[in-house]
Amino acid sequence: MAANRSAEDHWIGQIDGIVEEVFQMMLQRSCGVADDAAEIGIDISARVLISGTVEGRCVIQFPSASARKLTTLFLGSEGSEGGWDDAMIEDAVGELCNMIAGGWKTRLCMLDSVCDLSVPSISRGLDLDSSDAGTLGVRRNYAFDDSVFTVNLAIL
Amino acid sequence: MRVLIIDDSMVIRKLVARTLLQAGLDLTETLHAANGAEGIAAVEKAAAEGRPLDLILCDVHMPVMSGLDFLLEKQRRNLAPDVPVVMITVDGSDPQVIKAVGLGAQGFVSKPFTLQQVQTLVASLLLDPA
Repeated sequence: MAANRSAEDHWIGQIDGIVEEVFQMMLQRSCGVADDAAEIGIDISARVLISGTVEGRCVIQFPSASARKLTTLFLGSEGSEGGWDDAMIEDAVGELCNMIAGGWKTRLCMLDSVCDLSVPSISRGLDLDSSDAGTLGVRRNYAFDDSVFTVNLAIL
Repeated sequence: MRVLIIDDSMVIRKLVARTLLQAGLDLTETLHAANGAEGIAAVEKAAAEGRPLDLILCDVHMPVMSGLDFLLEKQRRNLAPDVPVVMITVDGSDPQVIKAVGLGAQGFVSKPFTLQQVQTLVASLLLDPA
């Protein structure tokens, strides 16, 4: 039990670093940990699977307003936040998930192991499996520019 | 300078284009393709019009035709042999990236990337092409 707690703490620290790195490098924005107890509405989710020597799952979940804000950060000011179409918003959320999963995979898989990343799959609502089933599950809320989202990681 | 960006993510194509502009490249035209097949068509069209490309950035994993297959097809047809190709990947340790370099790609950028990383790589390719 203590070992599992320690592993969770390790991965929480790693994920905080990955999320901050992605936002700083790609979007020149800070993104920090938000209240984990807060209920975040979920309107759009993206999932990337890691398969091979290690099996894992990265799911990120966004309320609509946060997803629109993320899309604006990715695409610049060419469109208003209300003006993005669904495909653009899904693309932005999927790419963020891809980069977070890629960073996690780099830390999770040894150099000599074989691990593949799936392409991001997108869902509207709650139906992507983000339950903590598996040997380890981590769920963290993050915030950028007053917009919140959730990252769920699981080693299966 | 004419640049072709091949990526199935429109968000990444626009982000890369913006990064190239911020990196100080004098972009006269940025062409977009959503997969390797569209990329081949764009390279062919550029050659047919006598308006050669200066740089190609290409995602590794795409539907329809992957980045690796784009390189193979480009090589098979001897299209734009002197135009540097930079692969875009989320995973620098992906064996496909190593294969791409073996097929003539001059380098890769890993997402997430910084402006400085793109600037350094592109400058090295355009000032000192392999």
